Amino acid sequence: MNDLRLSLLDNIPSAIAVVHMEGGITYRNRSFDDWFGKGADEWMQRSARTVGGERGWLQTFFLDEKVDHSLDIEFNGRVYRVERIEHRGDRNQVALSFEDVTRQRESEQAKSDFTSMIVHDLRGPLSGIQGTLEFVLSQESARLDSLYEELLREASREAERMMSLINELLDFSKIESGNFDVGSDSVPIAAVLKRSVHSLQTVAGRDNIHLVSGHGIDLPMLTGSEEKLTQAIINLISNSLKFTPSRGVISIGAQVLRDQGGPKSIIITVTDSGMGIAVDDLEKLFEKYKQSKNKSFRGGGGTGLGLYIVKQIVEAHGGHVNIASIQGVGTSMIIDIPVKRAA
Amino acid sequence: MSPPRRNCSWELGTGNLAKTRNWNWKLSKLGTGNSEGPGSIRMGAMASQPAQPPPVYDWAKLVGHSLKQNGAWATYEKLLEARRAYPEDLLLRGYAEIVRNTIVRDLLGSPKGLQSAPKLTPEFLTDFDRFNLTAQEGYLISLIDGRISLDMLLKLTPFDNFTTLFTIAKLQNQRAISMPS
Repeated sequence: MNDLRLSLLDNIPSAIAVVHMEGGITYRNRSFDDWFGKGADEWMQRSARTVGGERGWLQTFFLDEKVDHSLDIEFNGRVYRVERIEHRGDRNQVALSFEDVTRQRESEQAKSDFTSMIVHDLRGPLSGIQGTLEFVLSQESARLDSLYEELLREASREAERMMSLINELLDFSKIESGNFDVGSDSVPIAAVLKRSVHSLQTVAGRDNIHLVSGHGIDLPMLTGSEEKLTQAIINLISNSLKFTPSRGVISIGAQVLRDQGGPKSIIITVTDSGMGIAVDDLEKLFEKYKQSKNKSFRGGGGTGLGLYIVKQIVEAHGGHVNIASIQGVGTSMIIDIPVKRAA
Repeated sequence: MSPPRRNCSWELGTGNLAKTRNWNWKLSKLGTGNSEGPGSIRMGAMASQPAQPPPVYDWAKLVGHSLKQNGAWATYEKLLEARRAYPEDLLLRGYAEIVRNTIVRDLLGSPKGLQSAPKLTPEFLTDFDRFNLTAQEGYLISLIDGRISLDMLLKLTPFDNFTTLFTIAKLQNQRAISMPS
């Protein structure tokens, strides 16, 4: 039976190895030998060491208790996804599987580069169109027939919507390429909320929705990116605007959660009086390309990336996003961001 | 001195949910104020008394039923009570915000919307001691004369817009002021 098992392990396409905490390989299947060859022993021992305060990747499989832990690592110019299969009984050893994801990574990178290039190429001409429309509407509206003026305003609104879709795609490609750093600037969150509300006040007014801010000015500073946090709040408000009927209310609130050491975190809420979201859909809303099944009041679909981007921004600031929703009553998006971000 | 303990029950009227479940919670009252605003929530008082784990209730259904059967204000009061018991539960905070938002939407739901001008009720004018107003409510009341619209009140008060509207809705609920129909 034991021979049969070993034979089976030798014939599966993934590389498998049982590795000791200090890097010694106590079992390896045939694929492992084929992929990593003789250099594997030295590589594994190196991965178990801490050099210059930096832990080798192998250590995380012993220190991290998460069962589904996986890691992408490089070896001889190829990328392997390492997953823990087993880690019980003997706590000094771990069974790992290795999958060659080099081609997958290359194709993801190519896709991301392509998206980024296309998006940049689209933004230029679209900015020109927007600028021209704004100029005609601001300078020449007195000379325009009311029908033409309305048509130009509609074109301007659509151009604005297209620009926001393009911007979402650009952010998404940055996130996917791992090129998404929020920095560590001091962010005046009260100003961020004020600016976000101000930038969408016209849109809300046009749709007869009350956009009301409900935060004080004495909020502590956060650490991160002012631009990205503004974008996250704008995304949340824009999302609420889509699903809130005319004469509805969208409120933006912020509260400071304190502990004995002072301000602990800021809780920002964007709450609407829309149609609410079904419980089954709540979890999926922050996944990429996922959209609510609810019909938008403002027409036109989005990329399904807005809330995904919000989640990435908030998590990059060390925070979390939650949703509370009551069908037929409204939805509240709750962001919780620590005042001091963990290193 | 430890805070006084009390029993709190959230009975959901006579609906099916209420028949099948009895939402009785033993809550320790952690604060005394009922006012909700953009201020700070101090967690220090919790230090000697570990926070209870958040309950695993279906808040959406619970709050939705309560809104239908007890109205927005009663639901809001219960949510505040629950929030004091489970201060770390962010979802509860979200549900409280939804109810607050509903209250403000109802206030603005009249045909005149922000152009409505609230006025003081005869009840308030003859028996104002009964109302036990906070400083913020007192300040707002002092501006209300039946001519100043909600829109103008938002410009005149130093508070943020949502707090102002919510406080006006609260005063209306307490029958200190009335809105023209």
